[in-house]
Amino acid sequence: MKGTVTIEIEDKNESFKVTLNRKVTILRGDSGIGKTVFHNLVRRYYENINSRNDITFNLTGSEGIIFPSSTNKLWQDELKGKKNQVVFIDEDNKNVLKDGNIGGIIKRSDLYFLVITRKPLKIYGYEDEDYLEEVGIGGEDDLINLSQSVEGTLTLKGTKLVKNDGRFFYINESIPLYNSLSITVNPDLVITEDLLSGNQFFLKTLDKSKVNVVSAITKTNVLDTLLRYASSKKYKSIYLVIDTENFGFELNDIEQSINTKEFKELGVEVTISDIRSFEYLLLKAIKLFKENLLEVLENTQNYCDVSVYSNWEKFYHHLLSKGYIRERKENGSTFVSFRFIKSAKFDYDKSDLDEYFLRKEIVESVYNYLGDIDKSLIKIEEMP
Amino acid sequence: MNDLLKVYFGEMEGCMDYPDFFFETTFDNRLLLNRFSRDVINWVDKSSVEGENIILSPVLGGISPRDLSTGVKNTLICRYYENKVVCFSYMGENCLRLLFEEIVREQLDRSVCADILYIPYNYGYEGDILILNNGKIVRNGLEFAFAYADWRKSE
Repeated sequence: MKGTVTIEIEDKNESFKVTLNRKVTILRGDSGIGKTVFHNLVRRYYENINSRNDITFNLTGSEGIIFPSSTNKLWQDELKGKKNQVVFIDEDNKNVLKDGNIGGIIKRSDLYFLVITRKPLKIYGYEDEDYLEEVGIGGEDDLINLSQSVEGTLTLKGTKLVKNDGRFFYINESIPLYNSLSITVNPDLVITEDLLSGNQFFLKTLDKSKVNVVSAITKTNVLDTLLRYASSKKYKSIYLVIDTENFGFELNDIEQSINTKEFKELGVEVTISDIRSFEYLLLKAIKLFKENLLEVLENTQNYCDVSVYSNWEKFYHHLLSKGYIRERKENGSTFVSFRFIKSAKFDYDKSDLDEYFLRKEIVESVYNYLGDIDKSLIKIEEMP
Repeated sequence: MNDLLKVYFGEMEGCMDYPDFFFETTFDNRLLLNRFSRDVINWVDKSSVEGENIILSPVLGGISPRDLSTGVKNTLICRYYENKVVCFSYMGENCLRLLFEEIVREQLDRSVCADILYIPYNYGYEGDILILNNGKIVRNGLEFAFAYADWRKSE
């Protein structure tokens, strides 16, 4: 399953429009904004087959919506063999949300999931070795947090209208919970999530005499690392490099912490990177030479098959480390299915950054995309 | 003021996992007529209390209290039922300031599960907080953040 799914529903009082682009979309935000009302309205539409003409409903990009049972312990059987549909789960459905298998079921399915929750979804560590590697923890029976995307974390925004008869009507649409900010960055400390390629890139391209680069080692350690370095009073500006495709749940922790009175009194400016993943950043840099890659990066939902890639970070990693380009024509239109042409130019390895990515034009492109970093901080050594 | 608020990081055994169910089956609706209830329902759900069994919603018109948002129900349970341990994850941020200001004003002794991170000091809480996981006391927002980060590392 891939592509954009739009769910629109309207009754006499209000309308809802929610757009999904990823395998997992989280719907959260303030209380009382209509999340559960939306869920129940769509569910009632599906339950009342004979009354469907009484309500306006439009679903695009999906063949249907599944509401897993809130009582049947075998709820996962309801998803067997299903594909190209949306599974819609309300926070009240503990039967599903407290089932430790939910993360694994999401990962293995060819479905989209829309989940109303403020809690992380869980996955058994041993079911996802790639993820384990990223966070550096886990064991056979460990339940760890399933990665959530920042961009895939939505809330509802309502607008009140006055109808001709004087009654109110509310239009509710999904919007990102977190705003993307365009900012100027001049850090004296860079913190990366792990010790992998991203950390290596910043270590090798920033002037060590002006900016320090450290790693939190694991995702669960990012908040602690940030607090300790900020409290050391050695730094004025910290740049936190996170993969937003994997940091949707944890971002709340950072925001809560840097908004405390005592943190503000430290006088440390914290800037959070707005990159989906380090591989995405490198692909962005390389796009200068592969124009049709831009289409894949701008509209990833149209190319990332969720039966193969459980999240976009894995998709970008695959693009950078494997790859070929394929174009196909269908009904007179050309579709670009992008993968890198495997070449001798580079060999991407997450744990050991290829020196190809330290070339001047790539480094400059990465920093241009990241934001307005003071150019005097960048130290590019020409390849011999 | 000393440890009015007790916080457990993660999910504590016996915490209020079904606030809607408790509210609909056990909550005393006469409490809806109190000032605090009216303020929360007005602020969070933009609705007014017309009686102990009728709420006026701007969207839906007259509704039953059971149609209030989960966040409102959880907030009211926390306020009125001292022996119930509610979870942060069932409250949006818009519930928190009213709740913590009430806890401070009325000197309420409450325990909550921080199954997600909300820092009470960011929402008007004043005083010490006892961290139930390790018995330590925190006295401000940054100490609370450090305590949570420490727990996350070991989770």
